[in-house]
Amino acid sequence: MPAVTETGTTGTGRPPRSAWLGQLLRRLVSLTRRDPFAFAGVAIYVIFGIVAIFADVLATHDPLTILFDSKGRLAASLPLSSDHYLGTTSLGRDIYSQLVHGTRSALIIGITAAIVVVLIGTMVGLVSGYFGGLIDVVLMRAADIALGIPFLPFVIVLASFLEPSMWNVVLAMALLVWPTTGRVIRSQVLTLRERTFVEAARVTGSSQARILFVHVAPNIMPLSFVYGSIAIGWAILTEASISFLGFGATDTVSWGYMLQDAYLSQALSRGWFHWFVPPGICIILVVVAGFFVSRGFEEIFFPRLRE
Amino acid sequence: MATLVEACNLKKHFPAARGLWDMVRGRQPVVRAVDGLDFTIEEGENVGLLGESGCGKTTTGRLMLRLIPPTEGSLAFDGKDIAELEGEDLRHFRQVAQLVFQNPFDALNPRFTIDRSLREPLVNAKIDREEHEERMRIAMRRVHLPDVEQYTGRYPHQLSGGQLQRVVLARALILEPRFVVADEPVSMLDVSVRAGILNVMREVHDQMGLTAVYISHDFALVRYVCSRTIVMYLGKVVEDGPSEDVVRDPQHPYTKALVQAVPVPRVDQSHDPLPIIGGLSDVQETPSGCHFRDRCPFAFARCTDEEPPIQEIAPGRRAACHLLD
Amino acid sequence: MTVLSVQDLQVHYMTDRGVVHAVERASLDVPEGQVVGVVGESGCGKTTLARAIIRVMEKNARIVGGRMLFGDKDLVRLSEAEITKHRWRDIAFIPQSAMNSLDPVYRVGAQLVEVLVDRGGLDKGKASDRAEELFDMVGLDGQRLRDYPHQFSGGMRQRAAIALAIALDPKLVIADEPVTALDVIVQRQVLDVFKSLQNRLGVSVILITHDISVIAYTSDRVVVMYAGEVVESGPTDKVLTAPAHPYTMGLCKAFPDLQGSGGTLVPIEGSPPDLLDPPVGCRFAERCPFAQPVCDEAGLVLEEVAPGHRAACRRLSEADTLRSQAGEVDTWQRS
Repeated sequence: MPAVTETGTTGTGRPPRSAWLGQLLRRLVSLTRRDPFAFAGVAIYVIFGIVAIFADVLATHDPLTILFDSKGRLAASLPLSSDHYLGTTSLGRDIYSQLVHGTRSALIIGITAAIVVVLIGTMVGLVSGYFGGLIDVVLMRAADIALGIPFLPFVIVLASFLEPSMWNVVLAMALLVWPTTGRVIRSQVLTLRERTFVEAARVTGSSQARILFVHVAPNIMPLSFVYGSIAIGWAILTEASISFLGFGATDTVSWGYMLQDAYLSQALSRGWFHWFVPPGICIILVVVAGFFVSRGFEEIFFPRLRE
Repeated sequence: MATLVEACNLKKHFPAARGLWDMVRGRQPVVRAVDGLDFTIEEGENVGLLGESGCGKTTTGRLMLRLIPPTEGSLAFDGKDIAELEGEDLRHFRQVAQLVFQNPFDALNPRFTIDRSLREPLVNAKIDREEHEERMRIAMRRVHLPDVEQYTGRYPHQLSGGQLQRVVLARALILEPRFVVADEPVSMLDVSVRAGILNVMREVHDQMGLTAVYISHDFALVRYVCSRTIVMYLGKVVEDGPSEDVVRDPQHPYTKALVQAVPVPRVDQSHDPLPIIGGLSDVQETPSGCHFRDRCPFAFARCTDEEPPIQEIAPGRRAACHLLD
Repeated sequence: MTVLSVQDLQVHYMTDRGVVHAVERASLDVPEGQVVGVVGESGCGKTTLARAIIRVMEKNARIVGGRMLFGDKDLVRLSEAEITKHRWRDIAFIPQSAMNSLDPVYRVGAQLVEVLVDRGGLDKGKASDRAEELFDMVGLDGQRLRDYPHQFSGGMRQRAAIALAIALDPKLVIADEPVTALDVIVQRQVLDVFKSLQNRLGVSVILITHDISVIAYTSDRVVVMYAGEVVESGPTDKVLTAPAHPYTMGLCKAFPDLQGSGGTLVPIEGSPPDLLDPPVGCRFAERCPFAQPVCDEAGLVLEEVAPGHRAACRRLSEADTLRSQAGEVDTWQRS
């Protein structure tokens, strides 16, 4: 496990807010040196996060409103201009605003799905690995079943039964994607369970619950973060796929929605790159950022002490 | 002196790997790690549990602390069968009986500061926070780490092996236990550091009036620390007596071979062949009768048919061998 | 006749944190047909030294100085191709875990035969006979040649590794901690194998261990290493009964003697220096109860105490006085 270097905090007191922030900033700066890829990943997340939060302010128009120009004609398929940074769609909607609002829905889905998957996977892994026995067998069979079901078709089926909505993706991931996390956490727990300090905790009288949450869980948290990070990208990619295939929500704008719209409007053959390239790039960036962050998680959360 | 720990016909069998043939025949082969132990430990004694790998000494240590349940037989602590302890009694047992581990590098949670690791037993025992500092100070002083502040804020990876093992010992002592089991506590430390830990353990035992069991494969160390030695072989006690006597005048053939096998730091030592046949793992299954018979140069017919019981051969000395009848 | 003479060997590891001065001023002589024990604690450089002799080292290790005279050749200067010819035929190596010598997917006999055929030039028939002979020499039953390594116990694997090492009748065998992981009875049996090979074949052995009792049992000469340097070397009985270096004095007192009277053991407080930035003077000075300001000065070398007995200490002339002081526990006690 990586070297932990938080100096001073023994859990009995909290350092003042400003010191915490200062330390965080310092760590981010040194991160650029130690692992530039991880830093790039964090930077991308941060930028997208800011865009998502301030979407209302950053967007120039409402993403779904059909716009008309001064002469009352449909403001369709307009090229880049100072009014429309990325032009308009074939139906007169501002592409830039769609992109900005799409960021918000992408991140909402990504983060929610990631949290759900990590929570379920981690809990399953902890319980399964630590207690073993019947509950382990049952949970692992459930994992096998979940892994056996093909993901995209399942989401499509779900979307057909339930109303098309963003949350279908979250639900599908909650049902099918937790096993990967669960299995890995479980095997980590199996190893941890045999470690001497866990046995020491038993000998000094710690209860099972205490051992699980105080000793075992903190040692597997970093792993949960890794899978969470990857899950964000996975969720966004899935949502984009679903929307592109036409099963997504029609009342909220997402990058996938934009891609579908562009595709149906034959933007590719017409060379309207400003329409489909930006959302595509955004998807790629977020997924890649997730990958970089997951690989560099150790450096981000537990930087090595340089004496 | 009162008897603190008493083992009666203690057995612990583990399921062994099953081959296909065994499964077909519905057999479950077992590893008889501990195969019928009888011994008593008086309060205040310092006993060494000595044997080579596979003799069951580590398993016995864990049975004594109720970390694993016995397959058969019983272990009594202070007159009560520990298998039947529950609730408040069990909690009390966990305070007065402690374990010192073999691997100091792993016995402390790597994410906890030393301070936190030392507090853990106190928190579990629901000791008042006000008392924590004082208890920590006392425990650390016992293990010769008096500048407590120097260590409390640090993490395990920042300490040397010797310091770590002292902290582990301090943690075991912090609740003022009556009974401590140390499982190969110095085997993973450098030689020059071992002496320090062993001296501390001797000192602590004398100062606190502890009852201690010291598990090891190293005869010289056991003799240095413990006044009494119990020699184990393949799950059974083969000899038991004051360490000096067992070393100078071993009675059981296995002990004789063991004593002769240990090299000493002097050039003038015996190079005579050992009075023992073959190696431990040439033994495929536990032999019938005396477990040692297929390696014993003095084995005769009775050794195959009958298991020698452990019996007193002199005051305070026991051995399990037909030759001594 | 000296089989190997290592003179002032220096080995450094290039790491991203800097240069680790793993071995410095390492000098030892291996006379023909003798067992030389190299003793020291973890991090003292003994394994690095052993691997440097056969030039099988980590990727980032470099021999930066010194000579290793084997016959009339300097092993440091030889090219990789040349040293490959010497490996196993003239100098064999038994690594720390015997399992490392044996390939788990091949029968043990087959591995022996392979070495004999490929590098020894024997034909298969003769190789098989020789394999049986080798097993016999190390005390293993010829029937077991057909077994796989996992069917062997720890002690047996060690013997098989020894058989593999002597297969081509080398002049020198280097054994790295050959008995550390073994139980004491098996340990004794394996050490007896080394002794018997020494007697029957006249092979020289460098035996690396942290256990001075093992040295006392097997070795004719002993080399004591500390923090990458040789601090003392000489005939075993002289070094153990009249050590000249304070570290050796402390080390002798740190081992309990089963047959002895059970006096108090002496701990050496502290830990070895960081080899990234070692002190220029004596590396033991920090822990030495007899250290004086002169000990921190550079230029410490091995000096002769008696014929064949050398040590690197500024206070060599007072060795007798220091030795009697070292016998007291108080000397080693620090505040």
